[in-house]
Amino acid sequence: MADPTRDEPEIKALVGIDPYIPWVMGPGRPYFFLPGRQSQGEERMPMLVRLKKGTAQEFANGDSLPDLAKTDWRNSVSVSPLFTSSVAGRDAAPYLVAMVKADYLFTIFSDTTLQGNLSEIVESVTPGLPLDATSLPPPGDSGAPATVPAQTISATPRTVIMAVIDDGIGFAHERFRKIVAGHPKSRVEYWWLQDGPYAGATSTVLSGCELRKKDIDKLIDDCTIAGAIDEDLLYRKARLLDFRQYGHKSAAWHASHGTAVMDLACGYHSDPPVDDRPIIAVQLPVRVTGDTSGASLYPWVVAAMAYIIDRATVLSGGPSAPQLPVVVNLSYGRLEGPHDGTSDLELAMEQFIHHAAARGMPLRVVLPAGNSYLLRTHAQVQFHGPNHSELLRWRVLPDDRTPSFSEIWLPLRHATSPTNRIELVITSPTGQSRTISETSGPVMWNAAGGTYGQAVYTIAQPSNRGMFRISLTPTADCDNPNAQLAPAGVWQLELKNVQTALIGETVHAWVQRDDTLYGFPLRGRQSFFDDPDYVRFDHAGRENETDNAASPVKRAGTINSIATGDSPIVAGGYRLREMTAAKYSAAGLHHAPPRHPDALAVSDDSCVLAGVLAAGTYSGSVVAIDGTSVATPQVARLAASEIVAGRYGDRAAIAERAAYDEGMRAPGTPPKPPPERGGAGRLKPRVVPRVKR
Amino acid sequence: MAGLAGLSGSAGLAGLAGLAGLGGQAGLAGLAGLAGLGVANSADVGQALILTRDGIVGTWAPPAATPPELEVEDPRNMARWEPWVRASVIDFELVSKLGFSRSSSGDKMTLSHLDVTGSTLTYRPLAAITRPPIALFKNLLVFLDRYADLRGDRIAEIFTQMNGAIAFLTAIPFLHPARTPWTYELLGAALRLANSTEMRFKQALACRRPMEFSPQVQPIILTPSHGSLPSGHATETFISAYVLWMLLRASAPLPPSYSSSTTPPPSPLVPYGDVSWGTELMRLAARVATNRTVAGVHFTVDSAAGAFLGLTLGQYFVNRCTGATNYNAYEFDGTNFPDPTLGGAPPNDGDFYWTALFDETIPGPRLPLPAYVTASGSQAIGGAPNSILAWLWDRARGEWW
Repeated sequence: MADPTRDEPEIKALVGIDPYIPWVMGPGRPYFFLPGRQSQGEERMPMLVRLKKGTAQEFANGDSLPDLAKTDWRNSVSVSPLFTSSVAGRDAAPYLVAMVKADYLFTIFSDTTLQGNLSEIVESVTPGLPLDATSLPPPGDSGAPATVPAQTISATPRTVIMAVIDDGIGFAHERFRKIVAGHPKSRVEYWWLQDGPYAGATSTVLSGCELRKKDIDKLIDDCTIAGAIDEDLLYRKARLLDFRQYGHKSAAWHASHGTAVMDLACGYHSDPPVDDRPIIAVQLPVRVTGDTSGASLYPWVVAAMAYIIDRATVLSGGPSAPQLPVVVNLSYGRLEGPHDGTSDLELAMEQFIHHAAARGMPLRVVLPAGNSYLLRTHAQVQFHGPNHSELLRWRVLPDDRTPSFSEIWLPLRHATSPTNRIELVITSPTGQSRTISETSGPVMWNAAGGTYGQAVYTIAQPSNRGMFRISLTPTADCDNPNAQLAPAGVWQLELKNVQTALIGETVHAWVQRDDTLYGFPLRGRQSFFDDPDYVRFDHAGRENETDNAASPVKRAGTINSIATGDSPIVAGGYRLREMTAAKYSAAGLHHAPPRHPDALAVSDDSCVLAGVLAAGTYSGSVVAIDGTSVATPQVARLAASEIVAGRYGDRAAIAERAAYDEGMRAPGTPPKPPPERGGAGRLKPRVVPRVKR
Repeated sequence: MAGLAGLSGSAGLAGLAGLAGLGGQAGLAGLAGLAGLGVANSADVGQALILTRDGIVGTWAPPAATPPELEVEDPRNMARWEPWVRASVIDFELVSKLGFSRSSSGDKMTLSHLDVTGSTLTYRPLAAITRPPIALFKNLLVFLDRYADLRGDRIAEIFTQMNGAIAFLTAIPFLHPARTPWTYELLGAALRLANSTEMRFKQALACRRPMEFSPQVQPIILTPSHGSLPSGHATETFISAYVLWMLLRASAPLPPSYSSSTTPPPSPLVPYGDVSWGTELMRLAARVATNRTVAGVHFTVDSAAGAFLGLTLGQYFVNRCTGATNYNAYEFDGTNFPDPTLGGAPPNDGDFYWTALFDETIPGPRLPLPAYVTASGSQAIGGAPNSILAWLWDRARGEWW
């Protein structure tokens, strides 16, 4: 519920300010800053910042601000030396991650001069989920690092650094070890637990704690009794598992996403030792993994990438030494966003990749196509005449403990576009209608307990595309007895073009991801576009995988919204036995920009044997996990061997491999899926399963 | 008699953690299912026997020969009796040497061994437990919330382990009711020893269950209606893991021997001499114990106290069976168990760590002992070695080759 001691910030059309920000300062605050996790009034959150000009250090100093404002700024905004003074930080430019005191945003919103100063240097900001106080440096401390000591590896022309950003990574698993002189040693050179207990003065990371290979090797030794490694004890000592702390403990479960993904990407037998695939692993905050919606992920992923690149530079022997190639696997997906490569995370990834390449470090990023092909989370409308009306029905579910969001993206304005091209009439399930346009300012739905719905128009930067975001509070809430819940049911979104505006153009709508991941406590429920013309099942009861022109709800365009940039390699999934795309494997957009998955890897052994076999959390265990999340690391593994073979391991190389594999298929093999789903085609399995299912 | 048969089958005593599983096996070992035996002692057969005897007996002729006298107080006679009879005898031998008292200073309870040397009777300490303060239990409640996260993952184990974990022990060495019946009887004896002592401690220490502290615990199984500390599952699984492992270590190489001579030292040649048997058995016991916290019915300190009691009793039991002159006594001080709100690093964070209590490479207590365990020293067992216990131990030992 909104803090009664503060007015909600005045928001008109926001330029470059993620509308999530006024939401989390207002009705969304109790779901963002969970009570009791940080000192009240002192809450801090990470923000991904895109600078218009200046360096990260200048931003951190508040150089462009009047002197009077500088002290306040430095007490409220801190930037880790990872961004201000490391090579990786320069690779990230113009992006950086800052830790910002939430209440300082009220200061900014109420000070137009300060806003003016900042708008000259800041292009956009995206907040990320906050951590508990125990994971953060003390206020005002930027997490000045001890210098990361030099740590080299014996690199050969075959060496590729494999980096995995995920949750529940059992980093001490036998598949990530090698036997050296009869002893098990880690292949993990660096591991960052982003939401671990802050390591204090010796910390070299902006939150949480880090282990280096020698620390992991020592833990392995300490936890070895009579030749048997007690991995449960090891993860407790590493603080990955601490049952005094809140949060889901993926690494305590039989199967965990991160361990399976890392096994597929770079898991090997311990003996003979594999020396040419050293590993850097980053454990994202549990809360970020559990909160599937929102851009809450972005600052953490950008920080993880900067960390990976920084440590890879150290492993290469420093910035002046020849840089080792790095393949990064990020098996995460989002549904909302422009889907045109201009989301801040996508642009940041491009910056990393191009800047690293410029200084001789081949950097590849592999992303999943996403699993939302059949979730009805994408709709698109076209206006065929003036003042036409199209209706989308956004169905929000009951017992949804997390806020729900949807976004409507307009195409770029033309020189002749009127100021207001579209009018959006939003009607709640209880009949409360509000109308919003590009200039009307935000609209709200309020009841006695506060605001339960908000629609905001913003012009996203740097794409300059207009976007309406509708934010709703949860439809159920056990924790806040006074919470103002949103009504569940169908929210009608009536889009009307103004005169002849937008005729012949496409307006896209996406629902934000809001599900509950396997193993996580039940919180979110995925809302969707409910349309009578969308045919879910065919005559035999199978889920329909083909779009119907009559329905605005489309399976096309469900691709992972952080996977539409130019450089990352995007992997979809297919079923090995049937040779068809996995039914959940998302598709790109038909319309430009045509960003499709690049290739498919096996994500289900068959339609009844879901998933592929991979390491369970603890050594000696095997589990089956499905989803495009498991196709991605197989492609990452391939990219690494492609790099070693001199074929660059980039999108083109993977597509070429897929085309080659398609060419080698036996006659009679079912044809490959269309490119929107399958890219260049189905890669043959290269990770030989130990057990045939 | 029917009541005691009920005991060995555990039918009537639903709450006996661990016994139901074993008792079921003992029932199988008794093989009541053999067709002829199955209909014995029925009114129909009795009636028929009256008629049969009348038909075949003929005139009474006093017997000419005399059967040889059985030796009195000879353990070998144990082989003549049914399993439940042997169980009663073994239980008597064990429990008659135990005492229980409350220390003058309130919350400490001591289990003692009665040393009978000649006509001198001396109670010697065996295992003592001091109840943790209720404020510590309240602070430990946090683990009941956090471990609930694992319920979905552990549910199959929680339900199949509700009445004990013997089935899980059989997954490690080749335990089988028909193949190793004497080992089952030995483990049954250890379990019943654990059960009677743990229940006596539970009654005396009177510790409240987690769900009594908060309506948010919401366990996924019925909370048993006996005291929380020590945990019965922990006590029973650790004693059976320990006794089983010691038996394996003592097992004879080919051919099996039925003498009651002292245990041959374990060697790599002995089938079960490798420490990895102990590692897996102890890890299993620890997992069974932790599953009770996941289920919502035990505090972590309950598992620690149960592991402590099970291991201490296990060592005592083995020493009594093998004719040792002494055993080691220990005390568990619940007031010194780590408080999770104090921010200690593992293993001093309030969670249950079996590795803090036991070192399988010795095998024996982990040294140095944790802050909440102290050694009370080596104690004399007294009297002659118990030949009945030794008899059963040797029969069981001979099954492993």
